[in-house]
Amino acid sequence: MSRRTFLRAAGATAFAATGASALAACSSSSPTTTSLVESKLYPAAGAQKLNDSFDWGKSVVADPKSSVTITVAHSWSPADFVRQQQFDYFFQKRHPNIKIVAENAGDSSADYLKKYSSQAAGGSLPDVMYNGFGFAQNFIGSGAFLALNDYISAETSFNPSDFADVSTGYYKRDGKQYSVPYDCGPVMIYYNKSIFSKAGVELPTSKWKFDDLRNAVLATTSGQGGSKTFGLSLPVTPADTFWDPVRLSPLGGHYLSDDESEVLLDKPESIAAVEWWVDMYLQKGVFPSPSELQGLSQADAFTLGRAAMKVDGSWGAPSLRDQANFEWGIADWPAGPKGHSTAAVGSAYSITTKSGNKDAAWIYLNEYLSTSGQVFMFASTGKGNMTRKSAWPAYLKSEAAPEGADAIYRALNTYATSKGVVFGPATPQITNAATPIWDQVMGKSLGVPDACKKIAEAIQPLLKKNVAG
Amino acid sequence: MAQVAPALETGTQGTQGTRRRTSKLARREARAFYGFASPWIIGFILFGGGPVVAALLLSFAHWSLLSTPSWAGFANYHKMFADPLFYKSIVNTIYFGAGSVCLGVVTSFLLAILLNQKVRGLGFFRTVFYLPSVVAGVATAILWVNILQPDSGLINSFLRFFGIKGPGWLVDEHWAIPGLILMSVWGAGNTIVIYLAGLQSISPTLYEAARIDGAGWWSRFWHVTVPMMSPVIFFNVVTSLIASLQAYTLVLVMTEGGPNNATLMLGLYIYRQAFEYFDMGYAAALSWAMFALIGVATALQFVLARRWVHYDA
Repeated sequence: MSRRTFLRAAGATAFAATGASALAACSSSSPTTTSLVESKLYPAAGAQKLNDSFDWGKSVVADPKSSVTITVAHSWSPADFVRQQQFDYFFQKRHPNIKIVAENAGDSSADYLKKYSSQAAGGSLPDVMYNGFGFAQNFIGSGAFLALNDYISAETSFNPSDFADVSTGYYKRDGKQYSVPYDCGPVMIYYNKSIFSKAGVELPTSKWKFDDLRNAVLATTSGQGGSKTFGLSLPVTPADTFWDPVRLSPLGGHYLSDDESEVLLDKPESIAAVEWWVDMYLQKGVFPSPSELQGLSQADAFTLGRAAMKVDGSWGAPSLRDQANFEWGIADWPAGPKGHSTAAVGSAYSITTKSGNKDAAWIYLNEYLSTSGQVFMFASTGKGNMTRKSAWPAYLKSEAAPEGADAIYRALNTYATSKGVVFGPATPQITNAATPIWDQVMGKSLGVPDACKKIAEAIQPLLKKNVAG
Repeated sequence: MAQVAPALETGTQGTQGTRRRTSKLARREARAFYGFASPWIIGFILFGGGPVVAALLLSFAHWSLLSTPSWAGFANYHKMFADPLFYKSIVNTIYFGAGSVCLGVVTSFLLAILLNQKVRGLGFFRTVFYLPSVVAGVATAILWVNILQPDSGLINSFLRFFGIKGPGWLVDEHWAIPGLILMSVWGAGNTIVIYLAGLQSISPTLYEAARIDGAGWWSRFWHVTVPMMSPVIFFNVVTSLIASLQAYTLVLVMTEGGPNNATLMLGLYIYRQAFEYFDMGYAAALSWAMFALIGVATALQFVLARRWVHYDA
């Protein structure tokens, strides 16, 4: 082969490869549901049996007369995306004229946000998309989501009262509902039975008060260095956007006003509430210091069996079931001297404003977030956190439900609240402004009263963004 | 040589030099060249040049990513110059960039000299030193979080062996950037390879002549190796500095900008503004500040290079 021939052939090959790559980049994801996929976790036979056991009902919105395709964006782990694909397969069987293209950005919300905020900028959002309580308001405020009130009120079988009250508020604006919540979990106490037993402390009960919690936290903290056992697994920090209803409000303090327009952290009762928690850390190191946290590779000390209690949402139960090699249970968040509350947060699905197939998108959303859909996706997989009350009995009866699952359900429907949870558009700025000041408290170079005042000064100007939307 | 090349490339010239004609072969080769280069050129225009121009325009706009951009004039730049975190991130970026380049260039140069010796198992050693370069950034960051752990980390345990109490590294705001600088040397494999190539291109006759003149090891190193390697050192300094000033992944994973914003670098701050705060206009203005910073640093390198880089054999 001559040099010229070689150059010509190589050039043509390179050009063809470039063209093929460009075309591949322009094409959409391949439809996921031409066959029933399965995994060890989600066998096809079990999925088929479960699907066949439901009465999926029928939407008042008629199916399209000719074939339409809707794109749905998810944020699942690769393992759980298999279950999603199974749902889509069965959905397409029931609705032959609706083709589903499922996209999965993985279960990192940062990656998900990068992908879909970029797509929003390019004007190419999917028809239906997942969103979380922490960033939904940004999309709602920018007009990216369709108000669903008309669809919801027309849908005779939808029954809005079946949803836990706390689950819906994050997705409302000006009286309109922009998303249907698909999971919502209250913050609970997880406890390690053997650490409690060794410390001679009674296990948490539904009657626990804050003082009981404090006594147990102090009593179960022991040891030093690599063998230290912590009373609590993670630091108390304003980076937890729900620290108000969980930690401050039961003690009479508050982080922000209800409309997130004013900082209340510098009020005496709020400072006292924060001190209640930080004193335990300063006195006995009941939760990991920054350096101890680094020693744990930022992992959760509870899952490693090195903490007596973990304060976390009920969404943490499935991974704990897979990873923890000790006996554990879940208990109610205790009542404080000034009230009994915890936060419940979660995620939702929305139809985007620019969707060309809104009716088909609603048919999908309605079925996906029906009782049957929630049992298929959540109750039967052990994930829990269903937003529909009618889906809970199936979960509570299942083998996947952890000890104390009934407490989760009780909390969700009684004392769990969205009040005090920071979820307005300024949430990331608030967190990033408060964290550096809080670092100084954790490093023991700044007292709580000064820190609260500094945080208040730093974040008050940021709250304008919440008002402006 | 430099005078001959154009004649070869342009083929025959008119007698008065007014019109150049290219040969068939030269034209074919030119076409082949552009054919091969076109994927990169097209890619750069679409995915590099386009966004650069867009970023410039966006820096004069308010844009939440989710809505339509609106003209803001110099508002983003006014905001930038009044933003204390901008200055903090600039100082942190320069501190990290200068520190990591100085340490990295010296360390990798010394390692390259060692790896240029004729010893048994040289291939093994070269592989070992290059391996960290192929480890993903996030994995490297997680590894170093453990190495720098104040109580049980490898470095402080080593120091404790000699009775020295090591610092809090990533959890102490005074030691966080030195910790990151230390870590940045880990991925010096690529730089070492470039140094090795440079070292092997130095003519042995120069060392031989120096040896005949009675030069010892240090003299040969200082008067032969360093001057002959100066273009390579310069290349590594420039490229390493550009990369260091854009540090993002390792900061995000290792410290998230903390403690107390001690490691908030410009790259991380731009990411926050763009994808956490949805303030793309301000992020674009910050990006141009980063571009200016890199541009000034690089220009300064080229000015200083006249004093110490030697291109003559």
